[in-house]
Amino acid sequence: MIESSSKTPLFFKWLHWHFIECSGGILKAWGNFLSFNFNYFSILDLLKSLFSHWKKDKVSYGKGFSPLNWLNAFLSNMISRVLGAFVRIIVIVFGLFFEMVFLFLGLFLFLLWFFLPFLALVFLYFSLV
Amino acid sequence: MIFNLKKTAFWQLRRWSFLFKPAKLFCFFFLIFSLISVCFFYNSLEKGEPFLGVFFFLFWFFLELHLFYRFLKKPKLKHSLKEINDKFNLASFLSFDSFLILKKKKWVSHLINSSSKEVRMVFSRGQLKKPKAKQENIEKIVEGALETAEQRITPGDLLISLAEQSSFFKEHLIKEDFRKEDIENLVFWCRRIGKRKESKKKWWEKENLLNRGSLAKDFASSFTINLDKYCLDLREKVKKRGFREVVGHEKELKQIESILEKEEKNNVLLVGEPGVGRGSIIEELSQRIFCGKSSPNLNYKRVLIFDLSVLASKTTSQDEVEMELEKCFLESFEAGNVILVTEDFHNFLSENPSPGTINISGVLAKYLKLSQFRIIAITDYQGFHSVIERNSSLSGMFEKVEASEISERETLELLENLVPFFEAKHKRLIGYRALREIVNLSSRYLSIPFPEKSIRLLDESMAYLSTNTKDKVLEPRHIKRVVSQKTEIPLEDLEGKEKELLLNLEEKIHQRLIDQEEAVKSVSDALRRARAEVNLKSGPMGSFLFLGPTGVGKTELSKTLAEIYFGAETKMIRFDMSEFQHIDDIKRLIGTSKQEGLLTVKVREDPFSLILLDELEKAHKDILNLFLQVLDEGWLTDALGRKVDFKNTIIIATSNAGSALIQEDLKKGKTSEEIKEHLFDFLIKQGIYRPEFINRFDDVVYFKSLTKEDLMKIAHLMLKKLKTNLLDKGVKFEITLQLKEKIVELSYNPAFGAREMKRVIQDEVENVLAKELLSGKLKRGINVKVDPKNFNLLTW
Repeated sequence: MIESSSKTPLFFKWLHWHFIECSGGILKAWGNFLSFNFNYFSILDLLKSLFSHWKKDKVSYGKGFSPLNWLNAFLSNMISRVLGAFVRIIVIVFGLFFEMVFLFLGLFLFLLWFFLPFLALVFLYFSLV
Repeated sequence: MIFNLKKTAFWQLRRWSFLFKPAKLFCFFFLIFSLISVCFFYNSLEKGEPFLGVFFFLFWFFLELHLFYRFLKKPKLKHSLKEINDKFNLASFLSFDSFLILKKKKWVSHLINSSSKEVRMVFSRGQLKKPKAKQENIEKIVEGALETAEQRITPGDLLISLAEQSSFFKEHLIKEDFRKEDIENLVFWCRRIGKRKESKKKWWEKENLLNRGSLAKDFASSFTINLDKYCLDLREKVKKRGFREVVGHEKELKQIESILEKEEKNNVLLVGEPGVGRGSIIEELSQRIFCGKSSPNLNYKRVLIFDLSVLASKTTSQDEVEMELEKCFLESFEAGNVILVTEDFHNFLSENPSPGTINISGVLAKYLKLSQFRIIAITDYQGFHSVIERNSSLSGMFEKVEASEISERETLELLENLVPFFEAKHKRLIGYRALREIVNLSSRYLSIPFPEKSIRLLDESMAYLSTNTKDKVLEPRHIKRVVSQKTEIPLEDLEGKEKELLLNLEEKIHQRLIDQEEAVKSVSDALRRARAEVNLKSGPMGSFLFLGPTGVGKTELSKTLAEIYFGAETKMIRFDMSEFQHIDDIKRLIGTSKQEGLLTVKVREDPFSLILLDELEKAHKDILNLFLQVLDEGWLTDALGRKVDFKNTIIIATSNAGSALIQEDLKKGKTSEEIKEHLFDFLIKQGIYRPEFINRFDDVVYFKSLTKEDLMKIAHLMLKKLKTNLLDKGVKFEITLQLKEKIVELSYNPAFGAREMKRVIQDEVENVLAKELLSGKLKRGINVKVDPKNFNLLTW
C-alpha cells in the first residue's frame, strides 16, 4: 500500500514547516516584491533610455545647413534630453529607494520568522530568571 | 483500490486536535494579555517582565500552533491524482473536511448535512431539499469522486459521486428536477469562488503584484494629443474599474496576441456577430497588456478605442477627415506604444460616404504596412463580406480572427461570475435554477448569440423581480414570465404541460389526424426521446422523412405537431422544395452577402420551431447535401459564416416519390410493410435519395393509403369544423351518416387520399350553405341538415 501523505512525527513536520516551508515562502514573497518594484518603476527601461528625448519630443535638423536652425534644433533636443534624464533619474532614485526598503524589510522579516522560536524561548528564559 | 483512513496523516493529527483546535482562541487571549501587561507595567517594566515574557511566549506558541494546524490540514501530497493505481491508499487523497465526514459511521448523512462550503452551496444556491440519507459503499463513492477531484477529494466531489452512483440520491434528484451536472456546476462554481478568494488573499504573489501595472513605461513614447481627443484608454478603464474575469475566447486571444506580435501584417480583423463577446476579448487583452501578462512585445502598451463616429461628427468634409486621421495615425505610429481598436470598422470604408459617415481606407492603407502601427478592426460577418472582403488590397493587410459564440456551459459560468454584481445592485438573491433556466430558455427562444442573450435576460429578469414582485429570490418562474413577455409564447405552464403533452402526444395528434398509427407513434417516440435527453445524437430535436401518396396526412401531421408542441401552426417554417430545383437556390436558403437566407434567418429568429420541407424529392441534389450536416450535427453555416443552430428545431421532410409504385402495389393488394420495403428499394435504386441521406433522419415513416373507414372519420372531422363555424352564426348543423357516406363515395380515390374530399365538401356542402346564408334563408336558431341525394338543405 502506497501512502501519499507524509506520516513523519509532528515535531519533525513542524521543523520542516517552520524552517523550510514558511521560510522558503517568505524568501519567495521577498523576491516577488523586489522584482515587482524593479519592474513597477521600470528601472531597467529607464536606464536604457536615460538620455533619450523626453516623450520623443525632438526637433528635426532639416535639410541643408542653416546655423541658426541647427542651433535651435540642437538646443531644443538638448533640453528635451536633459529633461528626460532628469525625470528618469528621479523615478530611478525613488525606485531604488523602495528597492532598498523592501530589501531590508524582507531580510528583517525573514530573520525574525526564522529565529522567532529561539527568540521566544530566550525571552521567556530572561523574563523568568 | 485500498481505502484505509487509519493509515492517513489526518488520523495521526486526530490525537492532537485537542491542542490545535483551541489554538486560535488562546492565541487571541495571550495577545490581549501581552498588550494589557505592557500597558499595566509601562512605568515599572521590570516588575511586569515575568508576566510579559510568559504571555508573549504563549502568544507565539499558540500562533505557531494555529498556523501549523492550517498547514497540516492541507499537507502536500507526494503523488498527483493522475498517478493513482490499485496500490495506493485512496484515503490519503482526501481533503481534511472529507476525512472528518468519512470517519463518521453515518457518513452519508454527515456529508449531506456537512458545513463544507461546496455542500452548502449545492443545497442553498441550488434550492435543493436535503434527502433522507441511506448508507452507501464508501470505497465506491470515493473512487467515483476521483473523476472530478483536482488536488484532493473534497466533500463536493463526494457529493457529485453520490449523485452518480447512489440510487436514493438519484431518485431524490429526479424528484427535485435536478441533475448530476447541476451538482457539478454548483461545486465547480464554489471552487472557483474559493480559488479567487484564496488568490486575492495572497497579495504577495507575483500574479497579484503584477495587477498593479507599472510606472514610467510611457516615458520613451511620445504624447498623442490629437488621438486622445477621439480615444478611450482601456488602461485607464482597467485601473478605475478593476479586473473582470472573461470566460472562454482563449483561442481568439492567443491568435490576436500572436498577430500583434508579428513584424509584418500585424493588424487584426476581429470578425464576429454582435453579442458573442468581441468587446470582452478586447477588454481581456487590455487587462493582460496592462499587467504585463501578455507577450513581451505587447506588455504595457496602450490599448485605445478609436471612436471614429466622434471624428465623423467633428469634421465636415472628406479632406478634413483625412487631415485629422493623418494626424491621429501619425501620432499612433510615432508613439510606438499604441494599439488602436476600431468598432464597426465596415461603417468607415464606404466608397461614397454619406453625411455622418467617413471613408478611412485611403489614409489607413498607408499605415497598415508599418510594423510600428497596430490596429484591431472589429466588424460583423455582414460587414466583412459586403464591404471589407471586396476591398482586397485593404483586407489583405489584416489577419482575420473569428470570434465564435461561447458554449452553454461557458455562458452559465459567465452568469455565475455576474451573480454578485446583480445581487448587490438589486438586493435580491439569484438561485442556480434561475441561471440554468436563463441558459435553457435563451438558447431555445432568443435569437442573438450567447452570451449576450443570457446576460440581457438575467438583467431583465432582475429588473422584473425588483420592480414587479416582492420576492427575494430569482427563480425559474420569473425567467419564464420575462421570456413569455418578450416572445409571446406561454411558457409559464409549459413545463408541466409539456410533460403531459409528451406523454399523451399520440392522443392529442389523433384529435386532428385520422389513423397513421405508425407515423404518429414514431414521431411521438422520437420527441419523447429528444425532450427527455436520452438520445445521444447531436442533431435537431427530431428529424423525420414522411413518405407516402398525396393526401394521406403528411403535411397535416406536421401542422398538428406545430400546433400542439410549438403552440401554433405559425411556428412552422414551411418550404415548398419544388421551388428549389436549381443549384443557385442554395443561396436563397443560406443567403449571400447581399441578401439574407430564407432558411437561416428564420431559424436564427425563431430557434424553437418546426421546419417542414414539402416535396423534398423535387429539390436539387446539392440542397439535400446541405441538409446532411443539419441532420447530423444540428447546425449550418450561412453565407456570412455565421453558425445557425438547429438543435431546438424539428425537421420534417415529406415526399411523394414513388406514388405510382405505391398505387400499383395497392392494386396488387400488398401489405403496408411490403409497400414500404419496395418503396425504399425504389428510392435508393432510382437515386432519388442516397442511403446516407435517408439514414440521417431519426425515422423514415411510410404513410399508408387511407381506407374508406378512415375517410369516413376524416369526413366527420371536416364536417365538425363546419358545424362549429355555423354554430357561431347561430345555425345548428346536423351531421348525418348518410351525408358522410355520400361524401366518401364521391371523393374516394386512393391516388388523392383525403385531398379530393375537401373539394367535394366545398362544392356540394359549403357552396349551398353559403348561398342560403347570404340569401337570409338560414337565420339564427334554425336547424339544418344536408340531403345526401341531391345536396339540398333541409331546415326545421
